[in-house]
Amino acid sequence: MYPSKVSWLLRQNKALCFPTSLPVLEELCGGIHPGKIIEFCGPSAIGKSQLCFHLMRDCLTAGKKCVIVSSTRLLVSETQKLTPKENLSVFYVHSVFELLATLQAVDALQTSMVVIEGIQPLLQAVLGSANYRGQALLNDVKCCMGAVAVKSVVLCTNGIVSIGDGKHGPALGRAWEIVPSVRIMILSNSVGKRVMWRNRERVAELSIGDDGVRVSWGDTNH
Amino acid sequence: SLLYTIKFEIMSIPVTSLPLPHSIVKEFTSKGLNFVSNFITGDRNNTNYEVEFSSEIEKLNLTKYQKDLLMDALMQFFSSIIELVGEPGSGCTQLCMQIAVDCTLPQQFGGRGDKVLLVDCDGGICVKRLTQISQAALSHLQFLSESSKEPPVTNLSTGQIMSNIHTTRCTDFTQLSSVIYNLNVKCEYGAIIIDSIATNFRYDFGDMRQRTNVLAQISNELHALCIKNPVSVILVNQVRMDGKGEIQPCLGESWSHTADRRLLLRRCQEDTYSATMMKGAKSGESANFRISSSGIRDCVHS
Repeated sequence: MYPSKVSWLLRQNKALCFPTSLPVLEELCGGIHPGKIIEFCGPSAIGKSQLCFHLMRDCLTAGKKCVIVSSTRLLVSETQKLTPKENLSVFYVHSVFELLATLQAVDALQTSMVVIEGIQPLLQAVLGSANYRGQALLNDVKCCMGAVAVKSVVLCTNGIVSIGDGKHGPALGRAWEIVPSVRIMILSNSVGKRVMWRNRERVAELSIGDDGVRVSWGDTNH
Repeated sequence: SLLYTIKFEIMSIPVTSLPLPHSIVKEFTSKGLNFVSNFITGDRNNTNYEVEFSSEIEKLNLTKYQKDLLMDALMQFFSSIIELVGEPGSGCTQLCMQIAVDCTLPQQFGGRGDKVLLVDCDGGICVKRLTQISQAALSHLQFLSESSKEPPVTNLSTGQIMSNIHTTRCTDFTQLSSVIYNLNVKCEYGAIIIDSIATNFRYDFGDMRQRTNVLAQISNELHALCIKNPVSVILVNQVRMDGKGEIQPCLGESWSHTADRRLLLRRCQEDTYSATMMKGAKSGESANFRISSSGIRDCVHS
């Protein structure tokens, strides 16, 4: 690859950027713009996919292109809200190899946002076995996601595992920890509210209603 | 054709059994729309049922959010993954056998008219009990057709029902994986019932990391199956006690992402059982049933 001028890269990034309707989330993540891989992890049915869909809606209403790569069937109630449809592409993948092929295909498109939904079952099928094939595939996925992230912002959703003492941590292990540039963990506290953590420090609150998702700064005592 | 049979079966389901939140179901029944056929007529020529459903739902007088939820509920009827969780003796295997028999019944009586695959990992499927349940179902159908003046069910017999239920016995996780993989290659069933996915993975599994691998692969294959074919998958899971003394489903947190909906089965009294929705649109609601010699039946309200 030839070295490109930073000004050219900045102009490209600006062309693919879009304003979101969640300023608190942007501040929590340190900006949602091309070059970032943002991971949302949390238990099931806590709102990770809803958050991704909300951001996809913002991207599409700004007129930019968007791609979603999913391992589970997407609910119609979510995809109906995503208009215009010609800027949205949906891919279904069921194994790591399909994911790699799809990421390489997406690299050729000029998209602003790539959402990888449900990456945990795809990678858990190959990680952890005695031969190191799983680690090699994880490295491949990391490189492909990095290549895609040069031009678009990449969002992915992950699950959590318990790490003892009743605490929870992101799934997929240590090797996956270095892949995302920002990791947001969503847990529900004792009161039942959804709390978003970043680096176990900054705390925000997530609320989900009929019209969409709202993120606000929470109070520190929970 | 396949599309024709799918359309026919979905017309006669009552609105209360759609996976919708309770508030929307109440609104529908207050307006008098008790069956799906009340608001979806549809001509049989359109091959893309998704487009057709959306155009029919548009004509209804509902908010946008309610229309989307209704569309989801109808689409989920074609294929979804349901998990039954319960302690031993809470009726999981009996419910599986009843579902298997009900699936093979013809469409005008609420069944699917399709073949069923029963994957038996526990060894709890008893052919005698299946015969008993199917005989009771047939006599119930005869009673229904006589009272509603429909043509009698002369071409159905217990033998026909039993020949539409296929069983396979898996004693090992490799056998289970191969069954599911072969289903992905070609699936001619309307429903797949896996009795106790947990049996092959709970006891004496040497390498725990391999267990996570295999479970994740099975989860991927089941999702692929549901997306490509209109088949419903019903899994049965076991329970364990966690550190706080509460009952939790087995196989870990990552397995709980696999199923779309989850039902917790419990034994309340001597012959009354209850099923509570743990994950799904009607989360928290529960229904009672009882298990008699003729199968699963409603509880008699006193």
